[in-house]
Amino acid sequence: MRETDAALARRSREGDAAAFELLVRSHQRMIHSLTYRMTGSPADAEDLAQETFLRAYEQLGSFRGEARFSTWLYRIAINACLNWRQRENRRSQVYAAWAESAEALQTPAEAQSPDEQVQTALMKLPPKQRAAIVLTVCDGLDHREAAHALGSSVATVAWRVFAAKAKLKRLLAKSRSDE
Amino acid sequence: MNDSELQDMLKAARTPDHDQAYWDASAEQVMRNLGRRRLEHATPDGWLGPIAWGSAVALACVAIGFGIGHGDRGAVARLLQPEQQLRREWAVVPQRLGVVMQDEHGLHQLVADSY
Repeated sequence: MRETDAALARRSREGDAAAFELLVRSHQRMIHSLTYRMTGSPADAEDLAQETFLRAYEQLGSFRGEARFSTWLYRIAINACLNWRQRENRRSQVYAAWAESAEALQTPAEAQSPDEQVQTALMKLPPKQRAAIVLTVCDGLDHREAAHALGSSVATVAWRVFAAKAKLKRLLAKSRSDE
Repeated sequence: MNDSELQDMLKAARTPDHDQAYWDASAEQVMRNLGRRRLEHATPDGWLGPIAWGSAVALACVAIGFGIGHGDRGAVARLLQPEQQLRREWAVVPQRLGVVMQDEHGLHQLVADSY
């Protein structure tokens, strides 16, 4: 029988590295998917997934089993992604001119696959709105779980999802009409 | 575009796919990083080493300073000893102290017979 995440987390806390590796292996696809949707870059997604699991190990003592382990892990990953955004914003101020020229070289909307169009539209959302829509729609968390992962209230999550949907509809409709 | 269409589009959007070797390598990398980080935090070389080295150096400095301090006092005393002896001789036979010399046996004076 498969051991529960809570039991594996307890064993990991007691120093069982094999138990933690099982947790990593069972959640790595979910975390990679989240970090990719938050960054739009496979390389950054991998770095942030690594960072998420390292932070998770360090913070295992704070997991008390009140929420699902995956929700707790989502929270760590989202924080890592939002911090990454702040670092990226600072970096992008320095390289603003370079970023402009890079944007000019991006694939035009009409040449993008539907997956790429969705990712491009997601990247145009403010990070917290993006996190809210990714958690609730793409990953299927309910608003309460998403609120726990985002460290905000359910009402805030609901508002961010509403705002993100409105913006995504405009962006994706425009992408379709450009095709 | 309505809510339902948007939801379908978002759910259908896939993220980059990787083969099993990628996931194995990624999990192993996490465990390697974890091992490295644990080592950095656990071994004395991580943070206790510099403290131990610092303490040892500080202790050695104190010991050397203490030794030098004592050595200085001894040297000063040795230098002052002939001077005190000369003063005593001078007080006993004023104006008759002819030659003063010092060798490994100490200070020697040649006192004149008469003024």
